[in-house]
Amino acid sequence: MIATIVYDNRFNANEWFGIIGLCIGLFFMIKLPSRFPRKIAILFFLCGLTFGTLADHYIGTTPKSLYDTGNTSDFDLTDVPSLLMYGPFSYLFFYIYDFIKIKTNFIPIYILFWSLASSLFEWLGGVAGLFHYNNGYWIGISFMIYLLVHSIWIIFYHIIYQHEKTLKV
Amino acid sequence: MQLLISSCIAWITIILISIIPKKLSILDFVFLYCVLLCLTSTSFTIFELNFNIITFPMLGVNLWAVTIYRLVTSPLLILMIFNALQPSEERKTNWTLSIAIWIGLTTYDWTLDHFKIIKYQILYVRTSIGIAYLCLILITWGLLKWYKRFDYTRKRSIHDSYNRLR
Repeated sequence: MIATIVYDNRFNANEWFGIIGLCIGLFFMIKLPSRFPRKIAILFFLCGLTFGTLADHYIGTTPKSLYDTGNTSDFDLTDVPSLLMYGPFSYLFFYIYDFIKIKTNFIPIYILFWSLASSLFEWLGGVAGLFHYNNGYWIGISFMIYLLVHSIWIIFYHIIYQHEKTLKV
Repeated sequence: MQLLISSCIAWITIILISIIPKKLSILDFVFLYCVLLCLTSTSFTIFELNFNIITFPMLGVNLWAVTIYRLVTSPLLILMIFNALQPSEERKTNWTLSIAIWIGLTTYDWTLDHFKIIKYQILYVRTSIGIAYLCLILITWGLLKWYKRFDYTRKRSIHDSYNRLR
């Protein structure tokens, strides 16, 4: 039996942070002119959602439970907006990457920029009470995870890009 | 030993998915894999943390064995079910293979429970895990249908642009 830790039991800043973050992300996703076919745009959205879900459910739960999201250590409805928030975030990552047509030499800088932005966003989430760190976890570890995850995303983008190019040929 | 067996089964699953004739596109496979990971990890967390009906190992090789099962074996086996269920011009829907994989998946889950790698706290959960997989397959099947709708719009837009060029 795993004991539930309750951090907060009101609808306050952490829920609003998730909802507003998700709405802003979705706003940009809808308003920006489309750059990708619908099927690929969905994959780019899902990419963030999948990595976010995996992190929240593997690093954030048993056995180590390095961090918790939302009001309790359990999974509840208020966790859903914060989980969905990862989707527009990854979509914008791929969108800007595709838009600025970055040279290979500058990819590490792009990854670093996004990892810093993600860490800043996470820090804001922590201030709002969305993230609660346990067992020695801190934002520096998240930063390293972001560097790794964003590098995987770049590889994923190029695989998809190659696949599309072969289809067009 | 558990880790070795789990890794071997995962690798056999990878070999099988590599060699089977593909009826779904790469994009469909990636979509399904992402959806399955999201759904399975969320539902396992709810079952474990909220309802306390499943217990996962906390330490050591058993933890890795379960992680491999959750990240590789179970989603890939479900992907194979979807591939078999997909009708194509050359091949019909293979119901026998789909049912066989589904039974295999459920049996594998029971084996994990038998060897105390995953512990189901309530008896009826163990018996109904097959139905839970079936529900997961149905939900994902609906999502795949929705996702595959964009194949048509995509083909149409390519066709339209070709016509405009002519």
